[in-house]
Amino acid sequence: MPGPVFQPADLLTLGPGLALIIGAILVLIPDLWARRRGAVSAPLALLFAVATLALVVGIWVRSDPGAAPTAFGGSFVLDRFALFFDVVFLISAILAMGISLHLLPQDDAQTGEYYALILFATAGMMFMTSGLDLLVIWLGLELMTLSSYVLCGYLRTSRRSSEAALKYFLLGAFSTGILLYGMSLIYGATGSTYLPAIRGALDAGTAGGGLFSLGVVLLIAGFGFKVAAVPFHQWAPDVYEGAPTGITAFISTAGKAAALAAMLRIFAVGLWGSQVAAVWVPLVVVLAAASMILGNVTALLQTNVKRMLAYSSIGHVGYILMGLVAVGSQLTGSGARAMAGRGDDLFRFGVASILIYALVYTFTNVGAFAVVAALRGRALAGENVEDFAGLAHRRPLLALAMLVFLLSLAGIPATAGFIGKWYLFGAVIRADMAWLAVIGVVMSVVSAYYYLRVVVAMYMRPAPEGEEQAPVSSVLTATVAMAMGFILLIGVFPQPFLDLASQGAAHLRLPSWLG
Amino acid sequence: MPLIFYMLALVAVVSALMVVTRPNAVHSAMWLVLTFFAVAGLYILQGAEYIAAVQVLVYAGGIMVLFLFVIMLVNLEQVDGFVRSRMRLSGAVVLAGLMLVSVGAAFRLAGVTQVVPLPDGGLPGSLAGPGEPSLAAGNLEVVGTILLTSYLLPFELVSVVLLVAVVGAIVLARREA
Repeated sequence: MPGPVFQPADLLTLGPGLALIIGAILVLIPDLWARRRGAVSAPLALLFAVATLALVVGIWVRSDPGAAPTAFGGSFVLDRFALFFDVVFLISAILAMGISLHLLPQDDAQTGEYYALILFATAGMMFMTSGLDLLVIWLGLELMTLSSYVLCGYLRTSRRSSEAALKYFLLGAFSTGILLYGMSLIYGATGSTYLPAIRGALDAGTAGGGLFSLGVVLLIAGFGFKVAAVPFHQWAPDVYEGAPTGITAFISTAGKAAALAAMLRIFAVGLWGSQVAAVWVPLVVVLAAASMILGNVTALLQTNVKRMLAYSSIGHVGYILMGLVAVGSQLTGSGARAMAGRGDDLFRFGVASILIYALVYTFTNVGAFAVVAALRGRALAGENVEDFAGLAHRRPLLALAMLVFLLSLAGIPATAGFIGKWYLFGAVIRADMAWLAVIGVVMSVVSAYYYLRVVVAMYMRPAPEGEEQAPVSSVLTATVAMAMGFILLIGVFPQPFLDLASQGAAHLRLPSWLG
Repeated sequence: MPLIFYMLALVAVVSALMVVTRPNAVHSAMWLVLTFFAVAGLYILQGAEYIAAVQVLVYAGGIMVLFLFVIMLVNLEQVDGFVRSRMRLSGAVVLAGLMLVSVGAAFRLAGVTQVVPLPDGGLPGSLAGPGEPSLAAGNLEVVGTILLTSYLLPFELVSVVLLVAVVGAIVLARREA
């Protein structure tokens, strides 16, 4: 890593992540004397998250479209690519807190630490996205995953929650080891952990060989675990089912988005070269196709809605990985031919499609989990498809919201999910890999079947008699309404959001720091 | 200098033998601590103070505590069910022999044929780049300087990760009030 080193102004560049860390530490304090645990700290955490979101948006507005500030000798960059993902993480965190504010008091488990850990995890995600050095990216990842392990096992009296935490911890630690091993091999082959320097070594032809390729393969395997892509997905359904619903919503959206952002940064900045792309692009193709097929087909068999959403999220990772394929294929055969003379267009389109999908999927998936949380009653987990029976008669607005979320997950027009899929599929078609898009479309049809099963239960089956009606708190209502509102907004007026995603994508490799 | 080397080496080998021959797992673990310290001494002789310090902190400290935790959790003080079969013993000897041969071969390939005392001030500064403090200054200093300049951000992030680990451990382990 070049350079000297620390200037006080660097702390300003660190801004959003630093604000969250400070906020998280402050959130830990009020429980020491608050009469009811979490009474002060939980709203305080929500306030910090919202304030940081405002800060991030403010930084975006004032940021220079052609340059981005770096800090700590270039190992941290606050560009629009990072800012876009920061917004996604914060939205996911805020909505997850909304779900938790409704659910945790029911379990009598409201504490400040829970919300502080969400803030810590979000800060970790920000460092993953902004890191230009493998070490920073890895430490951000650790910050995120360590917090997530604890949050998964947070309901200690629940066997499922403890089991989820244990599985997540063991497989997570294992995959972190694989990832770190891959990073160390890449460091060994290129002599640097700094992404532009790694690319420099690749361009100069001084890196390469079997160990380097092995490092790249291990890197993909490690990230494969983190995003739960097939064949590294086995932990996901148990963890998503057992974890508190707010946390499931959080790690299945923001957690995956962070890992994808780090992958994009590492592959598009550091490992960008036709030889190394010949290693990782085919692997990502396999991951994408396998995830789409296996995730969606297995989801057909599930009766627990949280589990069904877990498998469906494996399928959605497959869709998003198609975007990475489109980005990378520019370097290998098909995309290079398709792109002859069109410069960076495909690159930007592919990255933008991933950005927009991450945003869309966050609203959609968190919204769906919020409805699951709303169904939770004293006698009822609210997680089975039968629990949705007759929901349209009992709570028509909640059923309508769930309908919107499910249609968006399936990718039906006029919802945000359609826009997301349209651009992802468009990216691979532009990259001349239409067969991959065909798999995606076919699997979307398959997914529509199991999403519609829930819709059928809600609208066409009678409600069971004497069912207890759990009251829905206003904070959960607001969560559902916000998610639904944005899905319809993006679905009907996608252009402003697409523009923002495109600006974010343009920043992924700025010449100002790429050299 | 060679005398110190041979004394440390003797301690390391003898204590390592004690580790594998003691029937009591806790005793084995204690002998292992001695092995770690002896090896740390060997590192210092090689001018690798940093690795020596990490050896003591991480292995003799952290890893050892972990070992003892596991031994006490599964109640392994006295291994009764462990069969000392001839097959298992000969397998262990063969593996150890292979290890010895491959280490010897590695030294031979690297051209190391004898133990030589280091030049004053440690190894020549081959690993240090231009403008960086020479390794001759002692590598603990070099590591410290790099950690607090080039890798300041990762260094600070580690502290946040540790904080989360502490908070998480308390959250998962506390008793319900």
